[in-house]
Amino acid sequence: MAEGCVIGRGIQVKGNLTGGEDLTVEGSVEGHVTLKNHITVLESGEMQADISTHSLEAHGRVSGQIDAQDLVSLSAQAHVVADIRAPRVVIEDGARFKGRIEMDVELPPDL
Amino acid sequence: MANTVIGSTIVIDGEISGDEDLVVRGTIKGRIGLSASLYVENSGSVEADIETENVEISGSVTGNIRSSDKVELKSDGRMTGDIKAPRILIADGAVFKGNVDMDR
Amino acid sequence: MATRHDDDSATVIGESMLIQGNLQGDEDLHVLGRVDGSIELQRTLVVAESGIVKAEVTVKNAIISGVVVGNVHASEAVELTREGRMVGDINAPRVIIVDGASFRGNVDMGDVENMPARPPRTERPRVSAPAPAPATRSRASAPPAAAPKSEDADATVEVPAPDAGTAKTKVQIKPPSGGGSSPKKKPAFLDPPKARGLPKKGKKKRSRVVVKRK
Repeated sequence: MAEGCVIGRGIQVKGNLTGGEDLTVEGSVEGHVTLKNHITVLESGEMQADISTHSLEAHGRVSGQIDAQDLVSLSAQAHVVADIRAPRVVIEDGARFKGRIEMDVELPPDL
Repeated sequence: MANTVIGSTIVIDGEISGDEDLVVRGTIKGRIGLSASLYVENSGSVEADIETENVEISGSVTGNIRSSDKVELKSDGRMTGDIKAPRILIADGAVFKGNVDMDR
Repeated sequence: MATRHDDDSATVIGESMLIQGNLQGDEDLHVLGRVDGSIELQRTLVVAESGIVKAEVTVKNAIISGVVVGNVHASEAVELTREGRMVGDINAPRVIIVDGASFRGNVDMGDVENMPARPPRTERPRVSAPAPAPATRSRASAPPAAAPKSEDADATVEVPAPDAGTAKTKVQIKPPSGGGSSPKKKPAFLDPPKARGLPKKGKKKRSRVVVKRK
């Protein structure tokens, strides 16, 4: 059950979206999204956006730029073309992804 | 699995160093520096300068060997190059071409 | 000595080992030590937790639990496990990054490009589809005057109406099957007027708006 804001199927949002609530996207969102909480893009959902959020979970299509304070996870159904910056990024087997991923990588000193 | 094994299809072109035994079934070209033993097995081929503690050769080696303990050329071993080691064994049947130096 | 294990197909680079140069072959390679240079395999590269690979890597599969600095091309898959750390670009049709792994670089799965940037919106039609039957009816019965605005609100909000009468109406949005209004694209709430008028059948409709609850 979704709490927070739901962009239902059939809904298209263009522009800026900001807030402090969870967002579930079943429809389409285009623009800039800044949230303090969690974004779930369901399989039917599509985001073409520059996204800044705490965490994002993609099952649908996402393109643009994703900045997360915590976790970005791409499920097996996800199609994502994006540059992702987050401390944790998870790509499940089956996910389609193209783009850059920036996590902090601790390397041995001589590398 | 502590040992290092270079499998028969592997070709290494470069330098290998470490302090554990090295078993060569494939090919190494370059340099080998170990503070342990080198085993060149039948299928193994080494074209390298070798510095180790021990060497045991059943395959083929081309290059110079400096060993701090012992070099053993087994009966099916083939070696071209110079050997410097306190103890050197060359088995009947082995093929060897080069100089031997057993000075310590 | 453990010189002669006969499992011929395993190459292991032990923990204390450092290889600088190019390594190629047609068997699995386990790196517990370090390899600097390049690795080219027709099989699987396994970088163990203690392993460090600073190399251009071309393999069929790569399983990385240690450290890799360099680009990895895999004809099948690359997996970064929980302990895996990698800086470089990955080029492989399948890429798996497990939580706990860290990675910096580009990922290219190749065919991603084929995916339509915008999928055809097949879903929408679906939404309106269920309603057709009642349509005619509803239309007939829908007098413009019928409902107050409040109802519109309901419709959009997906609230099941409290009282029976309203409840039914709310979801009814069915476009009159009649041609012009067929709102494939338009979600239900766009035509509230009809909704009001509808007498029965409303309940099922409801579901459409509420889709999100699973």
